[in-house]
Amino acid sequence: MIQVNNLTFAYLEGVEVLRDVSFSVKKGESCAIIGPSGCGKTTLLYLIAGLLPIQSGEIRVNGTATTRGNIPMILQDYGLFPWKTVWENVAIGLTLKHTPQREIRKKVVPILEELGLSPFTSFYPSQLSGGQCQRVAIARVLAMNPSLILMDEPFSSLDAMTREHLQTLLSRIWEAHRITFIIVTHSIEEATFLGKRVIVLSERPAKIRAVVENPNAGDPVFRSSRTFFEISTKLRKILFSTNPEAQA
Amino acid sequence: MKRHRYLIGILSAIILFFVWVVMSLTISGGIIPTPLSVVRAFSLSTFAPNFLVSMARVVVSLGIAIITAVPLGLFLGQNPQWDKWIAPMIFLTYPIPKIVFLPIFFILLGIGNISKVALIALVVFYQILVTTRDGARSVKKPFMDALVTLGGNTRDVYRHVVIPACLPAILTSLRISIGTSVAILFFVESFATRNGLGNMILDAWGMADYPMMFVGVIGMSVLGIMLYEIVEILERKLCKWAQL
Ligand SMILES: Nc1ncnc2c1ncn2[C@@H]1O[C@H](COP(=O)(O)OP(=O)(O)OP(=O)(O)O)[C@@H](O)[C@H]1O
Ligand SMILES: [Mg+2]
Repeated sequence: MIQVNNLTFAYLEGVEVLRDVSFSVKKGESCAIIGPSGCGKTTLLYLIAGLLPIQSGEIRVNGTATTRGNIPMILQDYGLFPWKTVWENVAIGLTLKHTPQREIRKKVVPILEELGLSPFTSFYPSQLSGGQCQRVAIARVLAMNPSLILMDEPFSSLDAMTREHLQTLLSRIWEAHRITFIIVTHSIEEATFLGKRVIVLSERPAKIRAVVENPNAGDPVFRSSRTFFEISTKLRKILFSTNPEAQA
Repeated sequence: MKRHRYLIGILSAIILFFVWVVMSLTISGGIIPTPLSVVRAFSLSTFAPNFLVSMARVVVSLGIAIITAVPLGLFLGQNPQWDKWIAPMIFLTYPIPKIVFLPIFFILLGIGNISKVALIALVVFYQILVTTRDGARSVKKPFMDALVTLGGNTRDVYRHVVIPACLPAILTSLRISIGTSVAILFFVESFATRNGLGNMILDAWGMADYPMMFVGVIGMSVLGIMLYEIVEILERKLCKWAQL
């Protein structure tokens, strides 16, 4: 589905943010990317989404090079448009494709229903809680019926309870729609719960420190299982090790 | 909330009316006429044509300024490589009091309505341009990125992100521009014209007809308040999100 090969990127000449990053994600799989703050996670997603030009290496989605505007992304901040209502925010991807109103309604109504947003269609983002906002952001990308979604720390500003709630919701959606997704997070537990494959990045310039296979991810009961703690502990060790080579 | 607003409005009007009455009774020489004498001096057949001419001048000027300054401001705010060249020109010419160009406009454009409208439009153009550009400059990049990942092109970015994000700033500048344009209107109507509220005020002044002069002054105020109220309505309709 998605193949990243030898990706290297620098915003300024000589100051590398990513160095020789390669990984792949299979169709319908979830992939979590975790790494220290400022290491280049957002940059990596921007490159996959085609928002930044590729300097060296390649990114292939379904065998072809990435192009901007084809992969919906949930951004770290400023996700929703404050001047659009919940309905308009969720419909925007379809509106941009000049979808007829009737079609839009047919697609948006069930998604709002699924995410428990039906009572809020005419609300503006400033009238919603943080958790509701993130649900709208998820609804907005789902409305486009994508096969791949990128998410940049979607739940980082939420309280622990709402966060767990939305993680479960996300895993359910992933299960139901079989969407491939890549989620960037700085929470070890979130990565463990959501990523069938967890990629650990090093300090800037980001290199791949380890790829941890995590086949039970997404299962609601996984969170309280023994393996969950084992994987989390393993990730923690890799993240905080001073000698990455020994771990990888 | 709405009722509240109207009540305060009515209360303010009553207070202002009182202040007027007190001043007309205490300041001697009839310079401040009583409300009654102003009502007597009012005649629709002289007021209406002057009011309409003035209104047309202001509205056309504002219209020209908006349709030129808003697109240019949005473009410059979004394209620093162009703004780099234009910004110094704006910076240097912004503080010049544009009304000093009236004689030049009279020579170039004649003494009719065109030069009057051009001068009002020029002054207001600057106010709207600078505010719009600064607004368009400060639109957060992630909003645009979000729209692009959802399939938006450059035109969509203007339509769905830049314009709505700047609209509150544009309407604010428009509100300021209304006050400015009515003031400039008075100035341009004091030269080479036989109609308009400004001319009416100066004529009455020349004849020491203070009640008549006040009819003109109130006419100008009404014109300003009317336009202001239109902007308020637009703001409530178009920028609901910014007022929550
Ligand atoms: N537009 C830019 N120009 C220059 N440098 C940038 C730019 N954007 C990011 N950087 C730098 O690139 C590095 C990686 O940034 P990035 O936003 O990808 O990190 P991140 O891993 O997402 O961090 P966080 O966990 O805090 O979100 C940072 O050191 C940052 O200073
Ligand atoms: Mg980031």
